[in-house]
Amino acid sequence: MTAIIEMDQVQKHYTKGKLTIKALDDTTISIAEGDVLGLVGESGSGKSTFGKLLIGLEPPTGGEIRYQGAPLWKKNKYVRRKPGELQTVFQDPQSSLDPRMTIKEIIIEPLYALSKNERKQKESYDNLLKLIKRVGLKEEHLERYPHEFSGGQRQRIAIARALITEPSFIILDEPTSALDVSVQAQVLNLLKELKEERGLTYLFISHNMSVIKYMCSKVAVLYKGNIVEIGSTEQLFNNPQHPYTEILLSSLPSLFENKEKAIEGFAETAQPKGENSCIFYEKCPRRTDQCMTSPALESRGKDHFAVCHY
Amino acid sequence: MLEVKDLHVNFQTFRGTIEALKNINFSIAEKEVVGIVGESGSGKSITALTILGLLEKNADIASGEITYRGDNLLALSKKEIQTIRGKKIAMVFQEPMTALHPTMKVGEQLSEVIRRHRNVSRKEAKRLMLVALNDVHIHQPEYVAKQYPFELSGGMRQRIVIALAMAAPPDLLIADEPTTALDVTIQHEILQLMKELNEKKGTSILFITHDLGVVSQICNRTIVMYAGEVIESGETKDVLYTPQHPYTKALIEALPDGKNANVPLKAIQGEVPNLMERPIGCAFASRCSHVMETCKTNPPALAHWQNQHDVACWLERG
Repeated sequence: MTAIIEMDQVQKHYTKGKLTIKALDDTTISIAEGDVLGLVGESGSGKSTFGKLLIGLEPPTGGEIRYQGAPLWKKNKYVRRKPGELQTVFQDPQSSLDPRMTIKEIIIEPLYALSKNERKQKESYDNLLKLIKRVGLKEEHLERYPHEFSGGQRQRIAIARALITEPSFIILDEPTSALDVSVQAQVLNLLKELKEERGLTYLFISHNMSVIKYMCSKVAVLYKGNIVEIGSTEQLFNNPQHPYTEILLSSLPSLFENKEKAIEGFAETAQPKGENSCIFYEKCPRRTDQCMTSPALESRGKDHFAVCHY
Repeated sequence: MLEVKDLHVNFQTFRGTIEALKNINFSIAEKEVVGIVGESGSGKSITALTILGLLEKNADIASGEITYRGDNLLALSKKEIQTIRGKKIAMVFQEPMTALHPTMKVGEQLSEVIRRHRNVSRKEAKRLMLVALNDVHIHQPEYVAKQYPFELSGGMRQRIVIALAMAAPPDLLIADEPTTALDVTIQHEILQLMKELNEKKGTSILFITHDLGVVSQICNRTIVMYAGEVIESGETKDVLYTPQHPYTKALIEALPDGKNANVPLKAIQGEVPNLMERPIGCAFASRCSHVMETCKTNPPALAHWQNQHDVACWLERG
């Protein structure tokens, strides 16, 4: 499998006066074609920054991101080899659709980035109709406005808008967290089917571990801008190596798992003594003096890596 | 302790009347944690607001009774209900930022509430305030008391909101999606905290959520709502592990938890009905996979099934 996205030591630091916030710190990761990479972590862990760097909303402050082998950023300029190759579906379809545009206008808008010929071909009514039927909408919906639709239908519109340019890579930023359970299942099924039909690659950002487990083939866990563990979904869920991953997995309230084992939570906050300590030191329930030096990303089995001394 | 009987609530809008709640019956006993689950628009939040007398002006309580220790809350005057709201029945909302005063230090907010509910001096209120912060597991109460809400994280803010709600202390705490805006790890801590308050102080909790996993963690009894009606209720383990109503079953089936990733999820087709044109029969009939002729014309009432497990479905009655 070839890598579609490669990130090499990518950094995104925000500075304000003397204060530096490391939203992403030396992230190295690759996403293979046809993979669904899940990205989990708490709010502020850098999940969304990750997505922003890929679609050109923010330039990285260090490192290199390559898309199909070619760099995505040249200095602070985003280089599109072919517009519409990378698309995004955002979390809240209430605010991501322009309320004054009809559904048809919303869906075909991304085509204005394409060349004239390509646009004509993809804009054709047949093509549009096929697409909206595929995502579960009807022809008569095209002339309506976003407020006339429910949350689930709006998310289908957002999916159609992402697909119109025939992308190969889609970033799904919490695509179902604003939806009800019964509708979430419809949208997850649709996303899975579309991936198979069109050979798509997804970056699936979510904080819901059971959705991640269902959707993804590979999972990366972010903590304070660092990948602390990465591996195949099966390995990461059955044999988590980093204490933060374990806490994350055990805090999810689930109907189907018995929780007889006492759940380990965060430890009381302790200030690390040195600058080089492990990023999880402050809250780790299993910290020792060895954690004053920062651990490296080490192999823990086939395609499974974690950043922990233990 | 609290009993809701035959409650009907309508909303008058420009487009017509919305039947938001229809025939709601349930009760909460001392020290009990009761969960109301449902999707958006099922009426779970409206139920909470009705109990506290916080409905908007266009709401019309068509019939019903809410009795709290013998008093009918719906018959009380605004003044009278103020002596109960906050003091006996308190509420925790979903978004902790909007529930707190943004330009007042959290310690001051908490002392003010304590002074309002308990007749104590400023000095005593300050002492009680620090105790209250300690009760919600805030480690440096003196320091945190001097901070403004924007300086605190979401989990800390929600702890402060819970401390405010517990200030009186109330008999009953109504929590409307208190953990939805929080990270899972923080959600877990808040749930533990609420469980502890229930066990230590004996406060009853009415827990409103859309998350079946959360219900399974903390509620003794569970009520499932759909389109403004209670369609199933019973002990949590019975409702979640031997669900009887097709909607409850379908909702559990639709969760991705523990499902085989190679098999598509069983989604519930269609959408929640428009409450302005409520169907004549069962509200779930149009989405139900077991629908029968009678379901389309006769709405089923909530009826006893077994072990205090009630279901509103024709199927379960042969």
